[in-house]
Amino acid sequence: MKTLRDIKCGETAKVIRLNGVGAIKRRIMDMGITKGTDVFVRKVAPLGDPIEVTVRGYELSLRKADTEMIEVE
Amino acid sequence: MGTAITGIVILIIIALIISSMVKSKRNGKSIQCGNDCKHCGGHCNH
Amino acid sequence: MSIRIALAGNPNSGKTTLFNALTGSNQFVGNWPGVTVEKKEGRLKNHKDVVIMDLPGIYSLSPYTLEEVVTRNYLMNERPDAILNIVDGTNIERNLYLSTQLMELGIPVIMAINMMDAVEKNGDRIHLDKLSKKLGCEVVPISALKGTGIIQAAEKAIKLAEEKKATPAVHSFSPQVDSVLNRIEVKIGSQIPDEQKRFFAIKLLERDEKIEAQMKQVPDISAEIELIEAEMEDDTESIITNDRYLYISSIIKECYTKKSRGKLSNSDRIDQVITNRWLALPIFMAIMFIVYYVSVTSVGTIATDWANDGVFGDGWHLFGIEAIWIPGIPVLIENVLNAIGCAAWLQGLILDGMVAGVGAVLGFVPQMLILFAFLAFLEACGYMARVAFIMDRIFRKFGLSGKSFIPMLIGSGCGVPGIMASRTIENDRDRKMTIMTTTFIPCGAKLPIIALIAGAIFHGAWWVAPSAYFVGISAIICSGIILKKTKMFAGDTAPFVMELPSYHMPTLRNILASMWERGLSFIKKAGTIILLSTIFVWFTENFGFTNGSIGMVEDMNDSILAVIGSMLAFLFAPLGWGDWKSAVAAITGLIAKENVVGTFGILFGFGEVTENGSQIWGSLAGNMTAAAAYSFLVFNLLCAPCFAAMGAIKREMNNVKWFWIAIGYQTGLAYVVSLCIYQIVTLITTGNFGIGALVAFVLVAGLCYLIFRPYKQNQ
Repeated sequence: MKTLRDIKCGETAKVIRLNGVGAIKRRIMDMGITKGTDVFVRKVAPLGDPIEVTVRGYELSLRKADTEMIEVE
Repeated sequence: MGTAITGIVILIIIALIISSMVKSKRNGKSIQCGNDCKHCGGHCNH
Repeated sequence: MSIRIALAGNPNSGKTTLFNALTGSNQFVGNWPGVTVEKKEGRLKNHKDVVIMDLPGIYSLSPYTLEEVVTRNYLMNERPDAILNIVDGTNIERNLYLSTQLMELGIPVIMAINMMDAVEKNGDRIHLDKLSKKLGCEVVPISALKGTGIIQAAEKAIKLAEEKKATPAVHSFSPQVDSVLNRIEVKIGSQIPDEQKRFFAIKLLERDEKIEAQMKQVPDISAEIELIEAEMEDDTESIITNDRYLYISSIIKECYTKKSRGKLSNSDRIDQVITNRWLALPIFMAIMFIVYYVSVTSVGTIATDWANDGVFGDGWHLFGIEAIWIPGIPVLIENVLNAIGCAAWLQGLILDGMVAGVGAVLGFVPQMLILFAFLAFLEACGYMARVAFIMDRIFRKFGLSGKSFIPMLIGSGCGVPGIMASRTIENDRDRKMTIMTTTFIPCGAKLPIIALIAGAIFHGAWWVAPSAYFVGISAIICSGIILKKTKMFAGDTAPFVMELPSYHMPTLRNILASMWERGLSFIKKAGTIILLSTIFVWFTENFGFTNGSIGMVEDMNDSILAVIGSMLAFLFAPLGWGDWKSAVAAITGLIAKENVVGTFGILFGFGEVTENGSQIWGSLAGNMTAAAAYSFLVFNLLCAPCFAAMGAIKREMNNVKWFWIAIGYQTGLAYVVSLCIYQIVTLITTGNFGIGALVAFVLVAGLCYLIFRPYKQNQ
């Protein structure tokens, strides 16, 4: 099972499903990361975490721990 | 004489200050950072 | 009957700019009852009976965050007459996600697409008519910053409100979902008015507990939920969310032409440098250094010297021209008072009390203004989000998040907006911790104290001012670590999902306005609270009981103030400054931190010795050793902030118990740290090991334990 955490900088991945429950999952979905969305990993913060992704035309910052919820291909 | 005038002026100033402070508290602008959230950069709701 | 228009939209969509443009200064800012979510209401300009309600920026109407709940409760229960939905044109997909939800509420909606100028500049095009038809509501282009289109948008909203026709939700879900929703709507029956049925049906399908709590009779839809979850292999919340975005994607395909696919925007290019893996931290430190160096050390000091020695001293040359000499304010006032024959004691009150105290404080206005201008620029251009992004990892190590850094940065200007900026932190524990520690960073009002100690005791040594910030930051970090290990604050770290909005160049006008606004409040404070405090101090310092009666005293050590001060001064003896003057100064600092300097200015005769500004501070130096002075500085930096900031803490904590916890913690920490600093430094310099030093070592050991102890979270 590949998650967004495994995607390297500069790569794009398509979201298959979102695991997890509750507020954090809803928040990630509300922000546009849903089934079938393309997510582009733009960069990593200087200290290694969080990461910055481009989704639906804007920039979003996510912690690596939270990206494990996002299953991609 | 000069003392009395000056003294009264000072008292008036103090009264004005206190009344303006009370008024601004009542106006709901009791956020003493500047009486105006408007220019705080709008950081009150991000 | 006034018309109520609600302004709703994503954060960073320009909602606040629009609200300000529409209402001007006719605003009222408060809190929604019982919560620390800001409530902003304003009257539309030139319309006596149109009220505009600025709702919190939200991404969705989910039940998870306070802002979302407050907003949807308002929309459902208060039923404004129309919703003006502001949408960021450069980011339209995610913005429309909220729009679809707003349109399900059964309230007329008009959409205003903001930042159209940016869209056009990128070469993209939004087909407004098609969009309007697809969504089922009117769409107007605006630029809130430039002010174009906003009046039209407002007028259209008013028209909608007057027509009282709800915008039917045109957007549809996928067929399976639609049929389930229809069935749920039937089950809801008549307890909900028709135009709201769809909203309730969707929320019930999403298992929204808060909505269920609001209904008299909750229909049993477990069968429907089970069915559709099995069909689509996902939970209902995800199903609905996915559906919405699918619908939005289909609209976008038709209504939005993106010219440059995959090309880097200007914002992205800037970020390549600013959040670059290697450059980001050095750049950040460089920016901070520039901000503080320019405002405090270089330009600031020059300006403050001019203010202290010139405007509030002897006098100064206009524009540096030798021939034009403008006498200082004290000189002018003295001449006037002498001319009208004012008595000596009253002259004393005015010159040695009011002018001296206020003058000492106003001297710092130039530094303040420059600092405010810089901070306003950083906030307005969008850099703050990058700062949170960069700093998050560090802050997570001691229990906070990158978002906690922003209040601290703002707090270096003034603590009150800093404390309010903690609202962006969703996690309650983290927010409380941030509120408690934000005021450790030296605010603008503490600058005079730093400058005073640095100048008088340490002869302007370069390291004193930066060390003050260092102490503040260390206090925050250590507090974070210590508090996170206590039961009150322990818990999982909150998620960090944050948008990085595009940079935009703030207008000079905005920055100057913001700078002036905050600077003005500083000056107003000087003219009101501080002025009153100086009068109080002067009177209590000059009057006392001599031989059983009240009168002016020759030696200020007999004055009322000295008596009161001496009663409390012993508390501060272990810290090295147990004299009544320092105690009084620190206590007046609770009213406004500037008072510390103002009070010292009166007590040490700032007004009298105007010949050489530095000479008056010499008497201060005689009063304390270097260790005591630094301990005094640290105490005032860390202890409870001024009344205004305390008020902000109380409001944001929304809880009296937590307010006292915060104040108690800050003052307690200040006491302990200053004590240790004084005792240990004195030990090092004099070699006398007394009980004080022993206590200090015990305290330091205690602190180290609290910081370094292992903490196992019980699962």
